[in-house]
Amino acid sequence: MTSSIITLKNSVFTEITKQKKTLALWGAILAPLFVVTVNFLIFFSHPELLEKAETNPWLKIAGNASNIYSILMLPLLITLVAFIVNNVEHKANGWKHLFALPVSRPNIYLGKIIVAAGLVFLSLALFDVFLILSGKLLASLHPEIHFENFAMNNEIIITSIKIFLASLFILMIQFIISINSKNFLVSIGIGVAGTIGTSMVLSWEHSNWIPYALPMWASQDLYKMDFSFFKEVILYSIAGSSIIFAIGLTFLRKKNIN
Amino acid sequence: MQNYIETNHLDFSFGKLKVLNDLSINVSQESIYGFLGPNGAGKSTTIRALLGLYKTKENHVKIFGKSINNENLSILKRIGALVESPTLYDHLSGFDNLEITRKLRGIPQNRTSEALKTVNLLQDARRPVKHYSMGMKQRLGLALTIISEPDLLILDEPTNGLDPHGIIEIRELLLFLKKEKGTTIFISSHILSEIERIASHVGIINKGKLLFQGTLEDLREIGVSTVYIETSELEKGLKLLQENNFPLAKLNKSNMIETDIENKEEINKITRLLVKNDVPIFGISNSKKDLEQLFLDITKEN
Repeated sequence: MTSSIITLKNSVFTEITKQKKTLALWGAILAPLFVVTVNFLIFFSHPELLEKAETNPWLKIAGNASNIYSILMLPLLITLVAFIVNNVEHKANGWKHLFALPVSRPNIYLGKIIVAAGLVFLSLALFDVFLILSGKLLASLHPEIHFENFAMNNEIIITSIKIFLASLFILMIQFIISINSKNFLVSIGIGVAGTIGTSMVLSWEHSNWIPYALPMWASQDLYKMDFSFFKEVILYSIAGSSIIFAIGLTFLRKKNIN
Repeated sequence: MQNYIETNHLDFSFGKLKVLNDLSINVSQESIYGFLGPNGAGKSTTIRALLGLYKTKENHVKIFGKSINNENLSILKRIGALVESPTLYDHLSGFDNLEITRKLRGIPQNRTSEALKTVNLLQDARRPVKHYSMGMKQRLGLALTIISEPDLLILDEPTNGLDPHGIIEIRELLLFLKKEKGTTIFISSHILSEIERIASHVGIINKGKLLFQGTLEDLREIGVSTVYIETSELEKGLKLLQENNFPLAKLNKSNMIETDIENKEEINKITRLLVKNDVPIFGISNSKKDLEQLFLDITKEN
């Protein structure tokens, strides 16, 4: 391994250490658990929604949960994670110490982004696990629902990966705001406003250009049974996040660190 | 001896506000360099410039003879730095805090417990830092700087907010590092008496300008200010002095000749002059300004 990869690995590991006992990790666990639990309770109390023989119950429960998760919970979780990953330094006056260590600024920057993205990915992976378990539990509690005719584990996982890629744009926007502002209200405020505002204009014909709407558009592909990765929303998200990543890095390299 | 720190007419501004003005500092390898100045003089700004946290012009800052702009990673590898308050993650233990720096530096695992031992925190290593006292936090901050056994320590007011006992502990630790490990130390402070006890060299800064740089002895030298001469030949002695480079010599209330001098050498000149001209000397003494007064004078004049 080259030395810069080793330092990047060290940078990622130290960021993970810093996230011990913070709300970011709990958020990544509890957010999917909450949505999947509520989703389970809906279908548990109204099994008639799933009872028709031709209905694919997986598509219903997964589609419903993914939709809610990607419209509201995921953007809010990303806002929280991006804030906490950076606030841990603001709170400890950590930037001056980090940048006076023999580690390049891009390495520190990338390390933080990888951990933030990792937490978002973890939340989506847990979302899938909780979702599949909740379906199995529902199948055993309501044998009249025809789960046995259908299997969708792979499709659920692929959709989550697509949602993850579509969420990188929001992650980079929130990351850049949080790395530059100590202020809780600025980072969280913009994240909440972006999320709520977007959920109000989803029916607008150009809403697929709003970064905060991209995970929702990616989740819609589940209903369409479209599992291609070469989708406009995903490519747009990757391009947008790459541009913000590059701009953020250029600023950080030149920045005077207080 | 190599200069470990060298700034070459260093300027730095925040927008239009010039905070460092033509600053040329030289810190040699063997020194403990006390960097003194009142609050707001530019000490922390200088330290940030030394570490590359503030971007400076090419070749204005050289550490170990290399430019901080071009070779910052290889330079920072050999430096341990504490800038203002130590960086501590309150929710983590002292041990985890050190581990973060250790891993980022890529140094052996045993250094964490050795650094904890050096600052006497081994017992409390597993407790969350939020439960540490101020002194313990400051010592942990110091452990962060010495974990890599650096050749050069740059410390920004490391005793800030400590009680006398804590101050003594830090001082002894620094003297130990100098003696046992040969570490070069650059330490800033606004309290002269603290620096006086450990520094070999002193730089005094105010309003971004370097007003004095030299050894502690050089500084004391400036402090010799007035000579008092007791003699039976007051008139003759006074005239001699006034005619020979001491025009401001005068008689004082205690019937002694009194004159201001610039350095110790001048005491020798005065005695030779008087003896040569048969003026009997019954007593000669000089008053030294204490360093505190001197520091105040130097920074006030600016």
